[in-house]
Amino acid sequence: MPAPQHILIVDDSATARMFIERCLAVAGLGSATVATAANGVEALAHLRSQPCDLMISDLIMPDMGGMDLMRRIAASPRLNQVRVIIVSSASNPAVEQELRSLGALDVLQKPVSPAAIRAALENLDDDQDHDDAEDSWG
Amino acid sequence: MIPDHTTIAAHQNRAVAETMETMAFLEVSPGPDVDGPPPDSLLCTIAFIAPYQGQLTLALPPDIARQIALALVDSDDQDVVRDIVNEITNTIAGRLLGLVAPPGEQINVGLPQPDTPADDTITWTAYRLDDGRSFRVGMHMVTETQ
Repeated sequence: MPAPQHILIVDDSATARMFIERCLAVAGLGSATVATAANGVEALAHLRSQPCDLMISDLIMPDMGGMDLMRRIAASPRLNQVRVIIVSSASNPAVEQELRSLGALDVLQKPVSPAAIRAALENLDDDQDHDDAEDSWG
Repeated sequence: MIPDHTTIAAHQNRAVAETMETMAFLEVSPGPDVDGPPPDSLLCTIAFIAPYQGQLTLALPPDIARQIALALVDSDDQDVVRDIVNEITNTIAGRLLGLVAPPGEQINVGLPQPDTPADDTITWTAYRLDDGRSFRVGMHMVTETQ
């Protein structure tokens, strides 16, 4: 899988958005185009109008949180191919299970680190390789 | 069934220590229960919504908050400092609820409420930095039936 070129960071904290962007750069994605959104409403507007390979989203946000955002994305044939990583402090196995059922590829605990971002991206590669192999066998 | 006070206090100490170490690069050690925070502290409160109710309040002295902001994003702009206090509170509260709640139950917390006065029911704990400065975390957690 090629490295993501268009990344959307969704978090109501400007500090968290900046921190995730720095982690992406340290993890080797410094050349990607990074856009930001402060909540799910802004994120949906971006996804409907701009290219996006990867979305990294917080869970608890005003106006529209990460869980509602995931439900909207999962229900949209136009958007449900966007790869999503959730970053949140308020996560546990039950929350993670629901997020994954909605299509989240990974759920990371805040505060995120470059190593955690890198590992999550490698998992995306593995998932894509697995899907490609299944497709070729199909 | 909500864990007992001692277990919750241990989880709180872990959530505070892990958050301050990984987010602010500060090692902290918990102290005894104390009275409310000094009046000049930067306050932020987050409500616990599910599966337990209550609140967590972080009271961070301005000098420590500015130090963290400078270390994290190289800025001590007032809005940046306030945002970092909110984000640290959010991280501590989420981690704590994740540690306390049964793994099979959905957890949920509210949005950070800056400058919200702490509820009278909360218990304050002091956390000391290596250089002797300290900050406080107040917490109260119950089940709906309590």
